[in-house]
Amino acid sequence: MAVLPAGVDPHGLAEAMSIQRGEKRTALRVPAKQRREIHLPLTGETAGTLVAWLAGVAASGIAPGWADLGRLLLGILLISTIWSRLLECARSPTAPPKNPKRYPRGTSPSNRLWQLPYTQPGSLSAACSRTLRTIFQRVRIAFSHPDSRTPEAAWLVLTLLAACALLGHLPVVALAAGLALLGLLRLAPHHTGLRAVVQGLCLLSWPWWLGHTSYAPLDPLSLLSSLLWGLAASGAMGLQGSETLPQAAARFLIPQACLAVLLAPFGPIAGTLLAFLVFGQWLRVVYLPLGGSLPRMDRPLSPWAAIGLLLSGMAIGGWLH
Amino acid sequence: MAARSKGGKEGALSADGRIVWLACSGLLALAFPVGVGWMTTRGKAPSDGQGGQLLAVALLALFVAGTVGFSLLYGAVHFSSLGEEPRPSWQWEPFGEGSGLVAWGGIGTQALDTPARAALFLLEAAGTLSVVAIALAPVLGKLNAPGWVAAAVAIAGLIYPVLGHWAWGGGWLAATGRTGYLGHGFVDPGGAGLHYALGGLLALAGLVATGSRHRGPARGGNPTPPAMLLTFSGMVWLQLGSTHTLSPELGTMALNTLASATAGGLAAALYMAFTTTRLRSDMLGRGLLAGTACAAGLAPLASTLTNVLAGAVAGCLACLGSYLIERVWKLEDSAGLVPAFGLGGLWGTLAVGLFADGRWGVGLNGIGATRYLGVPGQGVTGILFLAPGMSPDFGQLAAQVLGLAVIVGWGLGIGWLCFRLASIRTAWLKR
Repeated sequence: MAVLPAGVDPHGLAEAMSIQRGEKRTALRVPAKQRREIHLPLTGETAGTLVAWLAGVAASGIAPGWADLGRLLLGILLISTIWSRLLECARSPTAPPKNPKRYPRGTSPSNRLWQLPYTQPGSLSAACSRTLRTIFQRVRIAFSHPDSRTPEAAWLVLTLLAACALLGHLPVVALAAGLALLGLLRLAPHHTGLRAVVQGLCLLSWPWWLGHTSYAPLDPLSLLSSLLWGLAASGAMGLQGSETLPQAAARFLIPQACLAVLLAPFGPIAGTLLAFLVFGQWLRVVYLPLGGSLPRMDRPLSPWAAIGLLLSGMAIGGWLH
Repeated sequence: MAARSKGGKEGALSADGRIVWLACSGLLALAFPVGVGWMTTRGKAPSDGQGGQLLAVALLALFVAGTVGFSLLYGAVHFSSLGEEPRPSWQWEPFGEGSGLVAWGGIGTQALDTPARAALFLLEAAGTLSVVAIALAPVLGKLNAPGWVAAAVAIAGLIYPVLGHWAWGGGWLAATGRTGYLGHGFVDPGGAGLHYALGGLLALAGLVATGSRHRGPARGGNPTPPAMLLTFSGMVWLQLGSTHTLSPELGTMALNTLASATAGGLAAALYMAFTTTRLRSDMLGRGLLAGTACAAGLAPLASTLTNVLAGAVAGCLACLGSYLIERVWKLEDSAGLVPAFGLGGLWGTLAVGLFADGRWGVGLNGIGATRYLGVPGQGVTGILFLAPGMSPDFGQLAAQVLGLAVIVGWGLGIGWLCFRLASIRTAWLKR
């Protein structure tokens, strides 16, 4: 479960008006900063990451026994709540101001704590100390500003790190790759194409890696499949705009077609089923807009994609021939 | 009576050759106190009174060192490597063997009755004069005749020899390896702690006790490159002579000393360029001297690269110490003797416990003559940058930290008392 800021009616105006109108007061008024809601993040995205995690576990080729139940549950916890929440933090458009008018206590620009002895204005040391001080101020603001999500993200990262360390050293490496992806997502807010690809990788590829590495080292076929699924997810998310519909549909369907071709030698059944799924989705994407309605395929996980993910994982893991 | 020999190889020289080497290096090391005196006059020719004062202090310290100091320092040891036979002496060990506090080998010529001891006295005279020069030069103008006479006598006849006996003369500090299982005991091969750190700390105590503070902005050091180079050459000779023999190891030691000194000077210059956009030659000189002082501890014990690293740290410490002395505490140390020698020496003493690589000092202070920490041929060892196959020794680091604490406590405590008494006497006479 995760904690979300409500951000609704910060001054309590609606509540005051309802009291004026004589309506029954149903709850005590809570200051806006203290008001929080608790969400069970069972959205379509979360379901997608869960299925990708299961596909990764299946791709490892190891049957989880009762002894591995704790590991499985821990992975589900990580994927279903913590990772989704962290992804939301990385995608959040709100950011604390970089140059506030009022600095937090102890970080005023005249603080000489950051200067080496003998430092004179205009020297390299002065420039370095100024840069360091600015970085410190920004970090301080990032952790103290009420609109900032940095503290929450930091706690989530620490939790993920601890949990991945419990799973083994390979999941920690996978976590490092995932955090790098999140950093890329955060640092490139205006590159729409890049953001779409990175989000796709975060939603389907990273859970796959974590699921696989929790039980066995990641092999190239599994890695390639997960990347193709990530690309497909980014295409699915781009289907919302009609102008980019052909490109997004291509991004959505071509990776899955590649997967079908790729998996055919390893699992003919899985390859055939995937090919049929891709064909059906082509029909859906191409013909439904002709009837005047855009398809509701703007989620990374459609039922077809979920089936395809599981089929891919099972074929790579040797469960399905 | 303990037999004393340095931890390196004995070399190809006979005992007579070693005696000649000691005498020559001792005479050349006299350049060190001369250079310190020159640095203190800020490159100008000293006035008659000032010059006479410096000369009188030197002669007085030399007399006291020969009469009492040498006997207190080396009274309890015989130098087998110099062909000396065991001789009668007295040492006070209140807690049994290895707890020597004071020793006595006779007054004046009684303690200098062999050619080996006479040659060694030349080297120790240079060491004593160096400590006296570093300690008294910054405060000489603040004391009148009885004050500086008392201070010179106390330093040359009590403060330096007693501490020297603890570390070099078979005293309790060197024996902590046997009595307290602290590595090889306190190790100070070239006098980083006993010459430079003690001198710098005594100077600091003198500046504080006599209230030598400048008003207004700090003037900064006046660069005197010839004086600094003279001091540097004297320091190098003092360190080379401290090995007591002319062996092939001496070349490595000289190279390491030069590397450390160069790194110290460059680090100090770069630090000042980084912080002030200009190279300050006085700081370069202080860094050079700090790097040399650091090498007095580490040069024979570690690789050249390690010495470069330690010397660079010493150079930066000299800059930071200068800022502390001049800008924060506002003490009148225009020649920068306290940061250059005091901090450089303290860091060099500590660096032995950190960076000694284990190839030198086999059997030093009676520890591990054949095998130490399970490794045959392992000598004094720190904890970082060890030679291949050597085991880290945290006990040696503990011994160095203990020695450092003793030097700081002895130098600041007794030094402050000594200078305080000298200033009170001065004030009373002025009244």
